[in-house]
Amino acid sequence: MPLLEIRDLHVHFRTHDGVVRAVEGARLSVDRGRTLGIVGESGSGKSVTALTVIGLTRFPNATISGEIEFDGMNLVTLPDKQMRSVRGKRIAMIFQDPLSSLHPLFKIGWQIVEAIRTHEDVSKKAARRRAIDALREVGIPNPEKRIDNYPHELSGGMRQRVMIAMALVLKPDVLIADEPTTALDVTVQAQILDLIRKLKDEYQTAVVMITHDLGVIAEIADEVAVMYAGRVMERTSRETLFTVPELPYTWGLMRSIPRLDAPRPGRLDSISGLPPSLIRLPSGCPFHPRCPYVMDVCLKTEPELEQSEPGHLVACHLAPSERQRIGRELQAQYNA
Amino acid sequence: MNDLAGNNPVASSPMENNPDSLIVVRGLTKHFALTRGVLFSQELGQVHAVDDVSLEVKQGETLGLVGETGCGKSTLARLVTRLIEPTRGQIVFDGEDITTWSRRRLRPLRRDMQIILQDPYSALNPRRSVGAIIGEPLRIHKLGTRTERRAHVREVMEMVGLNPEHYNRYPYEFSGGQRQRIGVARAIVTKPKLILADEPVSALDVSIQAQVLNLLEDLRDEMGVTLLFIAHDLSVVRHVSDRIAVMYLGKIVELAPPETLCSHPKHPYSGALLSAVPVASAEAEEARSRRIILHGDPPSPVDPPSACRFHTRCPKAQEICSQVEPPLEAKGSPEQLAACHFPLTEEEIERAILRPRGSK
Repeated sequence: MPLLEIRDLHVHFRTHDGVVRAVEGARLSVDRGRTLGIVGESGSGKSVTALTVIGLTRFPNATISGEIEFDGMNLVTLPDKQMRSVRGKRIAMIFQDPLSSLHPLFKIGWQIVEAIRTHEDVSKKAARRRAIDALREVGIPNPEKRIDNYPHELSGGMRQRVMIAMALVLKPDVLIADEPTTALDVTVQAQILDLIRKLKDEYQTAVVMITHDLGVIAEIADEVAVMYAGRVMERTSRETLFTVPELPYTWGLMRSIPRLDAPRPGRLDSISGLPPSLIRLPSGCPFHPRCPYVMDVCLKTEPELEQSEPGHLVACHLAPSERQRIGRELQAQYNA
Repeated sequence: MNDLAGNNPVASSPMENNPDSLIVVRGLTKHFALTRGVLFSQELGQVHAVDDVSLEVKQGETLGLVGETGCGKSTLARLVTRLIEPTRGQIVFDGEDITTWSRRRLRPLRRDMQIILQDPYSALNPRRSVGAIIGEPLRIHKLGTRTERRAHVREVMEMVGLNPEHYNRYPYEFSGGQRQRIGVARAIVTKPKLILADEPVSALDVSIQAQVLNLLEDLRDEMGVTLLFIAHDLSVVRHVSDRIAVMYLGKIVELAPPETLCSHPKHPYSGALLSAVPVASAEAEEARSRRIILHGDPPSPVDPPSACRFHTRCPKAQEICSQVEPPLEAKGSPEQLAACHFPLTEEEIERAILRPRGSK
């Protein structure tokens, strides 16, 4: 049984303009020592799914249904008080912008110590020692000195390391990372991804990596979920995603990125149109208005997420053999 | 202060009027004073944002400026367009030395240099209609009558893929990608000779990013405009540029055509940058294991390392690198310039970088 399993999750927000269907029937799971990559664009529901896991979407205007099973508990219905002891302690999260996640007026050491003492009954001194060890572990030089720095005294990469130290100091079972490297330079991104990978192996943490960057997915994920318009539309292993992707939207994403490992194309094959409004979704398959392979059935019936090959789930009306042929041809250009 | 000032090429070189060049800059330097206090401000040091950069951009060329946060790429572009004052150096735009021109004298020239900014949300005035935003440069430069301007704005909206009927709508009614199209429309409405695009696609989703990159490419082909394209994403810069300048701590460390740079980088920093880009393929695992990992953060530009500024993080650095600054000179082929004492060898490149298939 997976450590964290999301079943048929729906998250809706009532707004003045109508109901925003942010997540519709998401099914995901992740296990100890594994990394689940969730890829999608703005508004695909990837962040809302993650926030719901740690109970941060419980707004008065939100309706949440489905199950999030974690260690015998259902996190959807878990009372707030118990949720507080799960959040941070057993499921930790790091965000895109470390500057806005750290309090600007407190030293970083104080903030890590506070996180420890919220969940564990230890002395300030012991907590401080652990904070220093955590900072050392994430590769911050001179942690004894750095612990008394304010966030503004650190670079972006260092701040993200502090966030990771804070998230991992309590040895959580699950680490959710929401675009943790998007605001960082590529050389620093490489360092941070290496660090997350190393810590995951060491502590057997289950990692959920949310990103819009297929390159990051290719580097770090074991399993991948592609989300679009609040739905998980494709789920498979990393190897399969980059050899035989079966979803037209995934193909579109792969074609539209300029890549360093291929000859320069004249033009990029962009996906036409815009992502749909989550208030007024198109009929049938939510991707059909932008899909070059659209058929009559796509306008009427929404495709279910079904098994195409063992371990490969796809929500698409195209025939599996056809999808595999197109996906294989597409990836053959890039793989040796 | 700068010991290089003595042999700064600006002083000696006669102003060249290469008719092919739209921009020629020589020895361009910008130091920002770092001060403390308001009334009796005290200078604590200087941020060496751009240091002694010389560069030529040909008419109709797209020059990509790539580098990490704080490398001076945006400062360089703003210096070239005289949006900020250089500390030293010379700027020739379209055959005229504009280094010391007053603001008033520069004003008519502004219609020839336009800018596209990164954040399509903060770059547009939320209280003005799209038509007014796009038509603003025409109004400022008093081009055409009101009716002519209106007609022209509609034409330009059509060109960038916006519905001209949305003339009277406001920015909040548009998505990020469409807003960036508004930004592009505003930049091309005066038919400029130069467009400065500062991270124009970094804030956009990948599917939208491709649309905007294609749009920029089409416009360049149609209008023959010269493009200074700033981005931190090497794969994007490679896609659009005719030449790429790699910057590190205020200096250009390598300048080469994109295919040459990506297949045969000479400067170890270019190599590190290339190998750090995550590759979306099944070979990513292998690429990662061969990666050149740079440790730590770039040093502070307030007190940059001596001689070659990359020597503190360079895997190939030797003693000379901290003593003698390597000049930016031809390495390998005449069109590839690099500032390095120990350029990467083919063997090292083979080991560390996943190359485009089919290139040697």
